[in-house]
Amino acid sequence: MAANWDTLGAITKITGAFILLGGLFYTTWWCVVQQKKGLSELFAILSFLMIGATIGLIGQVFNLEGGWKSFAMAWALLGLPFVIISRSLFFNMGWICLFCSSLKFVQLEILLDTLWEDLPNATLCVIGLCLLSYAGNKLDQAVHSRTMLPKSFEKLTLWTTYLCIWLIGLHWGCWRWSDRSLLIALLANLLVFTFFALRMFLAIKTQNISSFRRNAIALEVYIFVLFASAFGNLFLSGVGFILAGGVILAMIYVFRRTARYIKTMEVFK
Amino acid sequence: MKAKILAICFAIPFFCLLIWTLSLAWHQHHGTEIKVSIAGYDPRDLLSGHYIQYEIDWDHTDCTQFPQTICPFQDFCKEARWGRQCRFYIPEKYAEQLDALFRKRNNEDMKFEVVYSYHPNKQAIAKQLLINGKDWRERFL
Repeated sequence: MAANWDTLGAITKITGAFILLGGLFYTTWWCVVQQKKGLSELFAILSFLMIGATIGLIGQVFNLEGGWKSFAMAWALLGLPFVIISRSLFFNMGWICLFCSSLKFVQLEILLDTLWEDLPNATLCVIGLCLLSYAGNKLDQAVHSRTMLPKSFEKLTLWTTYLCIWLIGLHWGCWRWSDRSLLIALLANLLVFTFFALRMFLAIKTQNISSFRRNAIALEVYIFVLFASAFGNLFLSGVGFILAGGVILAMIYVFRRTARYIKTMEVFK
Repeated sequence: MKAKILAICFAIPFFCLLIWTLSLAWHQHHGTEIKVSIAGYDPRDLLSGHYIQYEIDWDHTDCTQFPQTICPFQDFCKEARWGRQCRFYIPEKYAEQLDALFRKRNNEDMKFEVVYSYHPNKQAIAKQLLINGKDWRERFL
């Protein structure tokens, strides 16, 4: 970008960027002080993006060769005030992802390798993620009125836990697909079922019917996948393909019945 | 009170960026100008996006420009990844021509150099790309 506007000169480009940056910061500040919620949200996000753009522009003007990690770290730290004032869950989650991408020890590859290679370590990973999510929840209760960062952290770790549980279930639990021993598959399924049972127990405790419904349906989907995996590659054949259609219809019927049943459950009255 | 704290919080990133820019500009203008020879970066292309990726050809660089006539390898392209490649940003429309020129530099006896602003023990900042001792723009504009 900086190089393509070569005729403008470095000083003009940098000055222009700083004027825009200052203008956005001031507008954000004004919107927050005047309690214009929607606008302050919009300008906080724009200011945050502008910080990243300005860092990129400076890097190009001065021909800096820094990699992603230093760029992400600088962007995340300088943009933190705008994230703190924002009430947007997804913006906060985006910031957490950006910050984590700048840390050397947080790597998705390591997590996936762990899930793929070793069931005991994968179980420890899930427990660790659950604990992090719990910590996020507790922190959120303390500072919810001030910032959404702990809540976003809680949601992000919880979603990652669900993803890990699904990966463990598919990789270790479906023994016909993965060629694992039956014992390993049983242990993996025990982990998956325990996790969903705990989530549903928590949903009953907090009277969160939608969470209970989501978990019940996710568990049903998993049971269907487990059932399908027992037939090996049958669903890839011609007859199996038609059969799969029937199974999907049966699944939809069961989901609807489940949702109806959950509504009438005593524990949610 | 809240408005003042908020203003301070917003001013911090602004001034951090401003101080960083000014320090880079100061280093760029007050450093010793040195010229280093460059070579294409293998195995990737010389041009990636709209910046040139290169590595410094220390074998063909005059080390007498530096204090104690020792080439300070560690002060150049400190944060570069994938080896020691450095970057020089150019307008995208000249990318292809410049790339072609660079590829046939040995046949046509051309020398590619980058002028750096250098402070001992600080990261050197690239200022200018030279082809046969002249600014690269003179060849295209």
